[in-house]
Amino acid sequence: MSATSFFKRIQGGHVGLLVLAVVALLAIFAPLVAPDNPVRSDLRGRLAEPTLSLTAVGTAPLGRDQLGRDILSRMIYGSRATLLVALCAVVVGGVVGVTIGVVSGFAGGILDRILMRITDIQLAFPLMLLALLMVAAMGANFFNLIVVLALTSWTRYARIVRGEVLQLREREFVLSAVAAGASAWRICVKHILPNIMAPIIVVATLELGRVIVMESALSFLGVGMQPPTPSWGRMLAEGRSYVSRAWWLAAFPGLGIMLVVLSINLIGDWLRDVFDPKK
Amino acid sequence: MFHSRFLKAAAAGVAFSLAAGAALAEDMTFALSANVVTLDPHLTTTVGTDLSVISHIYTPLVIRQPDMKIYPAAAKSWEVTDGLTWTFHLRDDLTFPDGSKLDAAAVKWNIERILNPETKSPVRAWLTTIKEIKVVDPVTVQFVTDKPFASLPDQMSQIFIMSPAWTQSHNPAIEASGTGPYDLVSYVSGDSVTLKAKAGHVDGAPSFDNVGFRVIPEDSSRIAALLAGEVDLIAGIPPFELERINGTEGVSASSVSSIRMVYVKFNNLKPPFAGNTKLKLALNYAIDKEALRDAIWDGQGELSRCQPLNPAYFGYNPDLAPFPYDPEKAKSLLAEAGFAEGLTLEFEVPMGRYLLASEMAQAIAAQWAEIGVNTNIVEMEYGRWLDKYQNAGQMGDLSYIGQSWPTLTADGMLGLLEPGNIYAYYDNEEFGNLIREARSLTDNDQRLALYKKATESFCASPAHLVLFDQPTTYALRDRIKWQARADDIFRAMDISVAK
Amino acid sequence: MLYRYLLTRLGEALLSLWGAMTIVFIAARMLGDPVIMMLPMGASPADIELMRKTLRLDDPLIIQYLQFMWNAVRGDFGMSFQFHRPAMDLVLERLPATILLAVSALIIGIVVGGFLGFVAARWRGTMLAPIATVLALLGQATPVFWLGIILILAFSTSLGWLPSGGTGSLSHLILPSITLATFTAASVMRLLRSSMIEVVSEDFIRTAWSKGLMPRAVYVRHVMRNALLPVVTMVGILAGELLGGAVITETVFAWPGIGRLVMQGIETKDFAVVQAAAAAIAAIYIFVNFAVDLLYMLIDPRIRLSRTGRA
Repeated sequence: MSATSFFKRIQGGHVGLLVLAVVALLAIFAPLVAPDNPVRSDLRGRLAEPTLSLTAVGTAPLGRDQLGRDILSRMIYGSRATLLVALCAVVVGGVVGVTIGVVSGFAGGILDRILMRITDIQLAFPLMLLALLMVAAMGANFFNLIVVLALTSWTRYARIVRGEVLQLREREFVLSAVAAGASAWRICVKHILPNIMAPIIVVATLELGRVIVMESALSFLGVGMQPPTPSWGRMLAEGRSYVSRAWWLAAFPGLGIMLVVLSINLIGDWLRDVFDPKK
Repeated sequence: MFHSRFLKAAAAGVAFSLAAGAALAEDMTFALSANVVTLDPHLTTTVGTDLSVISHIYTPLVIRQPDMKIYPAAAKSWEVTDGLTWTFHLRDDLTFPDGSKLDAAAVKWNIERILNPETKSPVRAWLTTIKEIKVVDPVTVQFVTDKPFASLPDQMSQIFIMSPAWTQSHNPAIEASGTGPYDLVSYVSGDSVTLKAKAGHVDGAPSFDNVGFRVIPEDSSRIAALLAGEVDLIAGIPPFELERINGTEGVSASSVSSIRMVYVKFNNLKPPFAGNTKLKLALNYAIDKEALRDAIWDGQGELSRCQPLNPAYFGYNPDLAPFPYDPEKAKSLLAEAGFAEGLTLEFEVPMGRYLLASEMAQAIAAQWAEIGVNTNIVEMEYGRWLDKYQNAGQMGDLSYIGQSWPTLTADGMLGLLEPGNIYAYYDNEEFGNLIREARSLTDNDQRLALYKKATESFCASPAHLVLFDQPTTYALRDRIKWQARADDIFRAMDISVAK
Repeated sequence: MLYRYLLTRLGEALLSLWGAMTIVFIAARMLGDPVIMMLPMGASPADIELMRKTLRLDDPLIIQYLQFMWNAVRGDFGMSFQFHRPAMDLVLERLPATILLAVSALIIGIVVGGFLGFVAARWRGTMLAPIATVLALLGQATPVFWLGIILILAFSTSLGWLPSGGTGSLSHLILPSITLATFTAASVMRLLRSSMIEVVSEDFIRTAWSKGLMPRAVYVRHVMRNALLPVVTMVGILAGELLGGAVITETVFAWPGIGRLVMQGIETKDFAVVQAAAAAIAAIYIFVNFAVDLLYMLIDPRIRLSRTGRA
């Protein structure tokens, strides 16, 4: 095909996928790719300006931060923490949310009402406040962060999954499985789950983006990741005081977050279009 | 005993404010880094915000001026007899806006209000040695303590006097009415406080007609407000911003050493620090304090001289010197201490409380790593950190902390390290004995001699990594001049219009 | 019956509120010890104990809980440890500022997001659509506080057009509400776009329209009405997110609202304030969703019918 028709067929989702893949690869192969040690501080070189050159020896292409650490290396290593926390939070939140949604939709009755009540109670809280409160109460470390972020996430899955399951429950193939005496567990796993994967994946993708932004917000408020482990959110929070003197401290992590979340959202939108039967 | 010197200073102060008052009415605005939580003088100990505002409206018995010395305020003079009885002679010309006088009965009522547990006053802890308050006559009040309390006058500088009648019929948390040079115009919680100079005050009109306080917690927003001309004086800005501010037209920035000292406490009550003096010394020799200070605080702040005191404190020992940076000596001391292979320690750092603590701690950790001492930095929210340190007695191996004592005495400050005190985590019995002995004496020269010995004992076996006096950074517009103070108090009365 | 439906929903709302308050009570107690935050460093253990006793913090937890609930029902949320004033007074004092900010951000968000969404759906397939989409997605990807600081740098420090913080005039409201609105605009845009596309592609609509059987006015009204439904639901969720996102915006712009009050309360372990604020926010959120629910029923008669059994 010609060049123009190739470019016409590229969708936002493809671009997003490409960017995300690059970032993921950088994260996985961080020790090989990063030019410098992300936690080594060199006080004499602190707040060095970005040189934007990868070939100059001993300089930092994206500048150095307030402790003289190379920002590019911190970005590369930081992508690990940022992505890992977000991924774990999405998985945990997803598993919990989907389980509750399926149980609620399938079982119905009192169980459904109780679970939905719990969902409502949780939703009565702005996410930010809930997260703040939980982290302040439990202490801020990697594990707790995942728990808290997952807590703010599961309701989205539960609601949508329950809606889907309610519809599926009345479908032919499910009704016949029930009539054939299959156990609830078997029905859920074999018949229902595969059919709700599409919306789950879409929600999960969008949640990934939202959680990344939320982690940086929590770091901004002082309850995110611990030093000296870099995470983009933390770098952004630390760099905010230096914005007028050394803009590169906050600019690059900020751009990084924007780029990754943008890509993730593009992928999410694209997936939603792909899975939509009406198109 | 205190008459002539202080009366002269008081007279000078009055003359200064009269002369300034003769100028045209001017306004000024402060920017505060935290909210003014309450206007009730007995329910707060926060110096930089609440008490700063309060000091414009109310009068204490005595006052601390920018030179950190105590001067008369509501009391003209005071003396102590037999070590336990303090007599304050009051002025007779201070009247509250509601017409009542600031007399001995009012003072007694105020102190009793603080001492009453139902008031829930955090200040109460400072005054529990007062066992009896006597009204001798309308201008003479006596405090009888159950133990010698040499710094009672210093403590009184933070106790502001309210009108008994007014307090009982108003809500002092959000309203204020006092004998100070300013009246409260408005108090918008979380946003601002506005004051107006009192007409016809006995001490004459103050330099500024209207004084405003704006609450701007975010550092960069506070600086932006100063540069935009919205406020006149800001403080608590990161040291690296001073250069940029100085380079801007119409504003200037500087810093002054505050009365707060920062250090990294060792938990000397358990291994590896318990009884291991060589380890404590090794950690002190391993840090290049000047490099740290120049890099992270942009050269602001003074090095502490081998003691948890600085020149502003009574009992400071000027003959001690800071530990030099000597990594070789540090390594050999470490080996002698039994850790030739190195060791790993937990390093707790409270968040958002001390100036650039996070950066400092990480830089210190990096320097210690060079001699083989590895640290796991745990940053924790201030309340949680405080709980661990103070309540649970479970401070980690290392803890980054900044401390000061409001009465600027060695007794208070060194007392924080007295073995047996929950704040101490220190195992130096000799040190403890010296402090206790000094506390029981009343002769200042004897006490100074004992504090000299105590600080030397400290230096020989330090309780913590001795670091710096935390600098108070500030910036102001060229139209005003400020006698910068080390104790975090911001008063329009210390500020004058630049000619 | 409509009556019964409303009553049930009200009951459920109250139950949610109770649940939320219980969770906050527990979480607040887990925050730590407020007494050591109140007293100066150097206070003796005896002083600490005395204060704790006076504040009745050494009562068994269940007693404190019952006391809290009993008082809360009558509007008394206790005294703030920091401010020494009734906690609910403080909350009500600060609430209008946050509501002003949130409503401004919501309006801006709906207008801008609605416009972008309409553009992206109407001119789907041309260059306009992806541009609008990317703009909106950028808005969702930008961390709120970063945007806020950049805006202050640009419009306040460099250009001097707008104040850097605080409150008092309309110009103080502009930057904070724009910052807060970005995320809202993005969400509204995406939702409106996808729901418009969905409605337009409904079979009977396409058939009727392409056969010229439907007057333009009816077509437009039908499309907008059905596309707006999910947006209306979203407003409920958005309200909650705005109230929460306000925390960060208020910190950056020194806006004296409830978000900052709660942050301070959490820092100083001021149980009363945290509980009162959470109750107020939860109540607002539940009320807004309740109203949205009613609105939903008004807009779509099918839903009204299915829920209440009558039109």
